[in-house]
Amino acid sequence: MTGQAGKKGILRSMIEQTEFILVIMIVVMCILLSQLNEGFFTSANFRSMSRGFAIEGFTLIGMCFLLITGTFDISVASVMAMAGYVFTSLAVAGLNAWLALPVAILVGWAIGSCNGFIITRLRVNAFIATLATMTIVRGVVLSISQGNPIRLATAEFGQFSSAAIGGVPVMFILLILTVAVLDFMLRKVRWFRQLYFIGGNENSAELTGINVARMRFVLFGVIGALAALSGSLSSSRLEASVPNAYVGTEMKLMVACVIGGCSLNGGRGTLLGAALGLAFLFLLDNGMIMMGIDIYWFQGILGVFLIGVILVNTVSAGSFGRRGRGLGKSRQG
Amino acid sequence: METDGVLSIRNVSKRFGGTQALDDVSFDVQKGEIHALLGENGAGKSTLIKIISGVVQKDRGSVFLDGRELKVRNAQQSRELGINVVYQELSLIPDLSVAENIFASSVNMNSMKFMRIGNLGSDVMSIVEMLDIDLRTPVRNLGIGAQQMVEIAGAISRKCRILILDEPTASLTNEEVKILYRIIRMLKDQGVIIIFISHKLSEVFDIADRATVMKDGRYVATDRVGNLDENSLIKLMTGRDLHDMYPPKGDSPGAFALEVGDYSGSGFRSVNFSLREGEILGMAGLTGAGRTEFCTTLFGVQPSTGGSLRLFGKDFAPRDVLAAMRAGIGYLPEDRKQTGVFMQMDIKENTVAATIDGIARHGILSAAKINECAREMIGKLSAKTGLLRDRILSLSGGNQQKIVLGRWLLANPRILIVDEPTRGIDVGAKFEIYQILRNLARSGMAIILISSELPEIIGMSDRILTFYKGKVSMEIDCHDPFLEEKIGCGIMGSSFRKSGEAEA
Repeated sequence: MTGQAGKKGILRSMIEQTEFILVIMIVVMCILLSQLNEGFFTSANFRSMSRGFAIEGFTLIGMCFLLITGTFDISVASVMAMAGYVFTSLAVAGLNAWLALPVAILVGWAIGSCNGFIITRLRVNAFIATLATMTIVRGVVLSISQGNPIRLATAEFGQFSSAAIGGVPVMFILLILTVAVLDFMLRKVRWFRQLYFIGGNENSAELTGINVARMRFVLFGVIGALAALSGSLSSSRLEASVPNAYVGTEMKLMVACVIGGCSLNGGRGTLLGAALGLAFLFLLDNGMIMMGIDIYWFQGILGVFLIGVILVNTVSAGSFGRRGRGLGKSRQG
Repeated sequence: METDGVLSIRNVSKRFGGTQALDDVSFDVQKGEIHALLGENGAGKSTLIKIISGVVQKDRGSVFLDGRELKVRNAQQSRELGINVVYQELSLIPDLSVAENIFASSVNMNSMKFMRIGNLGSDVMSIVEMLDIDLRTPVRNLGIGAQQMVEIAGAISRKCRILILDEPTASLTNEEVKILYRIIRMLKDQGVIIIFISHKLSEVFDIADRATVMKDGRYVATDRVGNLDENSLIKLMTGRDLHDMYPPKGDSPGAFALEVGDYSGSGFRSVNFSLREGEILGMAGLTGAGRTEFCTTLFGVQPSTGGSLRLFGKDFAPRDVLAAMRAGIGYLPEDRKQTGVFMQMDIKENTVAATIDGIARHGILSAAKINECAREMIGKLSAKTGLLRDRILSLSGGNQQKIVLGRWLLANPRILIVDEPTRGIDVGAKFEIYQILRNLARSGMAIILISSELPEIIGMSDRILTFYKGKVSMEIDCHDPFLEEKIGCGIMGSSFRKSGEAEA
């Protein structure tokens, strides 16, 4: 009896899923763009988009994990720039590409772990702590590079971004596989599932035997490493490091996560949703370029979009329109 | 009939989705009356209040004030009509001063651009005087009780015809409750209609003139408080007798589950006692007497500073929460909202939160297993829930508490600490939780019960420890002829002398 009711519920809940809505939005967007511009459905365009998507996608994974636990890291863009700088400098110094990449990632992990230490041990608010590292790291990159890009001379370093199987960039394939595996793990594996409990209620999580501080510390290290990977891949693609680039990436990633169902309060969202959210933003971006709309509008549209998504969430959560004091958390009885 | 100053509720109905929250409710509240609104969680009290204050729109029926129908579209409008609600959750701004907070809720943006402290009304001033607080103090620095008073001061600084208090005393000390009573009586003398919701029946007899009981969204009865007693009220609310409230005590406790020797930590020192399987050990004491601190230390939340623990005959030193859980200890935290439920999450995940380790096989979770565990526990505790994937916030306080309790039962502890297990839940759910706890003890679990409600401690415990300033001041058997007097002395840290000398 209950089992049947449960099954019916699953079907309905599929339609209610954010992911489902996002897939529809993406399909509609694709159809729309292909009608408006014949350049859209070309392999060159998709290759370019998938490269950009893959680069930011790795950092997105870390951001999504953090948001699920109810926190975030705004220093990722600076870490990307720093890692790109390390990566290219090592190339110029003549190091093997397969050694340069891990070193860059290690640097990112170290910065992320610093964040983790400041936040979990020194108990500094995540916004302040990562704002500080964002500024410091950016400052360091800009001063040692004097703001000048370093050109990648060796083709070897370009292979990370240019390698492709059947026309599909390898890094895109890798990202999709990683997202698929991690999305599954977020749903099914205990360690990952506990991220939701931390986001749901830190104190309760602590009292059910979850080591909240340790898990957060690990996650900040991970997002640092992932941002470094993104930065290195980006430098590989651009064949240069760009010390002042990527500004605003953290916001874009957070918007993608929220569109995909995450909440800044934590405890909600899926990696699949976040990835679809980012895909949608890429299509939006791409579409605007194709249609010759000034790309500076993208920022504005991003903001409007964010508000729209949050409004939709509030309405569906049923708390819209219930103004007044303390009624957001309505109680029964 | 005299309609001046009367609030009449006539045939009000409201439906939320599948539930009939209010069904044809009618009653009157007189001018200058303190009217208690009683009922279990889910009886419809909150919905009714929200309809009166315009936060929720009714489906049918009408509300009259002074014989004129009230048509309130939102909270703003209801305030203009002089209807003020003080909710349990405070809405103060911690860093602003008392004066600014009082004004924040009353100042009309159109007419007043600057705030002047001197402009407080005389009612507000008399509240502030009663509380003896400086208007310039930031609210953050006040105790929770004083904050509640500031909230009330804010409410009456506006035009106030009707004042609705939703469980105003839940977080107040006895002293603060007395001040609150004086404020309420002062307003009553001015002819304000006061509607008072509380789960503490003793307060209803202290302060209310009449009481209205609701049950399952329907009106049950209204009567003068003088014609009622606790037993008849509970019967009206739950259909159950007070005498059956507490299950019979346990008989023969088993082997030692826990032996505590000179145990010390932050907030308590040199605690000595033992706990047997099948026993419910009550811990009485004032807030801050060290009961919660002792229990959370035992549960590995913070380190101890000395002494020894023996768990089932073996030495035990909890390194962290996980270690304590693995050793067979469970802890139902005191504050459900802050440290109990995972608010954003659904019912089944809340149920399995503490056993997620055991449910996972090689670290991988099975949805079917989670459902099965959650369903089994919900059935066992007869919690009233919707779908397992509904959010836990959709449940009433009592059912939320059952879920959090079920979380610990799934972990199958041998020692269960329950810290204020019935705080803020209705009489019916209380009764069920008492039954559950006693049944657990019967099956051999050792239970430590922390409670601030003396009747609960006395009704449930086989043995009682009183805490005073971090130490165990007295150990009392439940059959002791001077049980209540002794507990009273133990809590206050005085020694017990027979027959009425205790107070000297």
